[in-house]
Amino acid sequence: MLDRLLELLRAGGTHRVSDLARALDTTPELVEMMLEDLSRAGYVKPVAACTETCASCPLADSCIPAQPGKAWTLSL
Amino acid sequence: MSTCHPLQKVSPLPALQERPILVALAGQPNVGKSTLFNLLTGLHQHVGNWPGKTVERKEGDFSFNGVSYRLVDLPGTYSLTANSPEELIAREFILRERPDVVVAVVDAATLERSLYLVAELLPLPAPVVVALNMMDVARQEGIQVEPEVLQAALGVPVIPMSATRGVGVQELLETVERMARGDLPYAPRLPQIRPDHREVLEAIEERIAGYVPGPYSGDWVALKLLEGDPEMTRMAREALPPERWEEVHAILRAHDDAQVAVASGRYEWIGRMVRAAVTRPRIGQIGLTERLDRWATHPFWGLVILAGILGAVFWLTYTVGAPLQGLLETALVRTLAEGARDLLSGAPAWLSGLLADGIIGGAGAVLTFLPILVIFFAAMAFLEDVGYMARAAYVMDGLMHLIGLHGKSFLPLFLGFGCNVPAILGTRVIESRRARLLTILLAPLVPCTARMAVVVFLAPAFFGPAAPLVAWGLVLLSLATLALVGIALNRALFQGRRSAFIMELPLYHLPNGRTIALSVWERSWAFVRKAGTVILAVSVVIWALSTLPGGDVETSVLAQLGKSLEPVGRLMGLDWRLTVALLSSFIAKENSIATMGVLYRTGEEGLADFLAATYSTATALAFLVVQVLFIPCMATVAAIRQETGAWRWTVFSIGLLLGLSLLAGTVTFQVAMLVK
Repeated sequence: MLDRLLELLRAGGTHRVSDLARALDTTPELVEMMLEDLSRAGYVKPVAACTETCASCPLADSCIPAQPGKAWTLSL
Repeated sequence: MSTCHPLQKVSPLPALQERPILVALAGQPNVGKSTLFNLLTGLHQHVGNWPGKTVERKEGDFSFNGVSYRLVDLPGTYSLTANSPEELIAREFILRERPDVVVAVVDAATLERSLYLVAELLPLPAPVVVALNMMDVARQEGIQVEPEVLQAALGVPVIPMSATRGVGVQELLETVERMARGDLPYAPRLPQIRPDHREVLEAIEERIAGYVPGPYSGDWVALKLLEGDPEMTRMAREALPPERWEEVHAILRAHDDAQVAVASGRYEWIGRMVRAAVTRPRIGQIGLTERLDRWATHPFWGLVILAGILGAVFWLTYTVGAPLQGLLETALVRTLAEGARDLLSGAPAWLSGLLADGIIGGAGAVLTFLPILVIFFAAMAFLEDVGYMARAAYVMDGLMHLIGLHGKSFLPLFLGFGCNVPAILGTRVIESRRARLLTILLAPLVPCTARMAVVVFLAPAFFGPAAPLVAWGLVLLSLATLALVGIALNRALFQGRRSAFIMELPLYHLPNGRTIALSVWERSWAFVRKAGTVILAVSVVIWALSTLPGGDVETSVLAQLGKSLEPVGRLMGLDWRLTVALLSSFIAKENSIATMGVLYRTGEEGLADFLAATYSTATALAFLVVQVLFIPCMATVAAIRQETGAWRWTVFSIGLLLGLSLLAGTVTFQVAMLVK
């Protein structure tokens, strides 16, 4: 299943966890676990959490990197 | 494992007669493992450290139904892959101490996560009983877990329980006792490695057979070697003859993707278990979010909805905000300016000029569009709070992929709508140097709030009721330019490489007034502070340059500068004043307005009315087009220099935007003149 997830990601594009779960016939929770696993193995990277640079940014709260683990990118 | 022969039931295992049943409690953190441990052992606990580690070791004794137990609380772990001391301790304890039973505590509400550990426990040489804890929590969340189905699927006993309420504990202990005595069948269904790697696993098993020291088993070690387990790799290297190890190592090197194959098997297994035993709610909030998202994140309709919402925001901003801005200009700026002139009638002319024309006319004019911004910020905060902005980002990203842009670029560019500076700093999330550079070059084409503030002020002044349409068109123009430049640069720099981006969208929810109010306050206050500092300072400098040397605007230093640039400005229908206003926006975008306020010295008439009466539609449109595409503010240019680390890219960016904006302005003006 992990390899099928990687295949989907390698095809490129933007994915939602729920769409990936549907494509793999599993639950979003399991997809999130797999993403964490792929991240440990270095295949994907969580989008960096906000640093102090973001502290003064008025959009920081709504910005996706402010919510760790919510966004991932494929490591190239 | 083994089932017992009936004769064995009559005389229990001799070992168990002499010593308490040794039970290991395994589970990930926060599944109620400690609650169960405390409930069972009460005051009979011994706390120490695991040998040679700083990890706490807890064990305790108790008896139930006349049977003594020794319970060892293994450290909370998510897996057993020797990634941490805790994982290693848990694994080594089961392998070396061979507990009579391992109780795997799992959380019924997050079964997937808990089952990964179970998938790793089952191949170890100790029988497992699953304590399906937090059944009450799962039920409250509407998650239905069927213990009998899970038991059948796993092939090991599953006891539903709720440790905090003491529910199911008795059944658990009875099962543990029967399992320890061998009274229960035990036939766990183990996760299997992905079929295409089965041969590789067997090849390793063959080569290490006979060399694996106790307490490890050959098949388990082979699996761990494929997973790249550092402990087992070290052990195998020491235990195997060098030439054997070389063979094994060569196989491992040739299959460096085996880790994925092993984990993949476990996930397939978890997926099967969960599909069989768990029913999740598909009603209420989740259902609503999914229904709305069917439209809001649709590749085509999502963009149409985004454009519609953006249009509605502008319409609301202008319809409600513009009259308030006019009111503020009449009530505040003009009254204050007149008051200042009256008050300073005896003072030198330059002082009253500085205060009335420079400070009040410049920074004051900027402050009058605070109501417009408050409404704009409130609308944006509302969209963020209900969860729509994440969808906007999502559909925009889809669009970016369609036009061949790098997926990772979307996040920083999205930030650019707030301010271009964090957008450029945000490109640090992109590792690829070329992708990062491209994103930095594109970021200034995202219309930031300061640029939008200028548009929001000038559009109603020039275009009246058509203002929302013009503003909307300007945003689309910016984004279309971004897309076209992106395609061109992407082709030149990237040759269309693909990348993936995964995000989770929050559920839609009712807006929270306090969150919105706080956001509006923070952004508005930041704007007022800017008006009181940078914009005020620039207003004073512009006033000074427009007054010196003789006190007449037409012969001032600034006029001379502006007039020297007039040939360029004329192509776009801009006079020297508009050209200077454009140039001053380099310090901060809002300065365009402040500069106009200082230069026109409109007094009674009001800046907005004066502009409407002075400039043609073609000039107004050309000015706005140049304004949104022009060189970004000084802070953004500094950020570009810092992040690219090269002046040549900074100059390239400035040149690119200058060229683009002048070209677009000229085309707009010339076409508008023809149409007229």
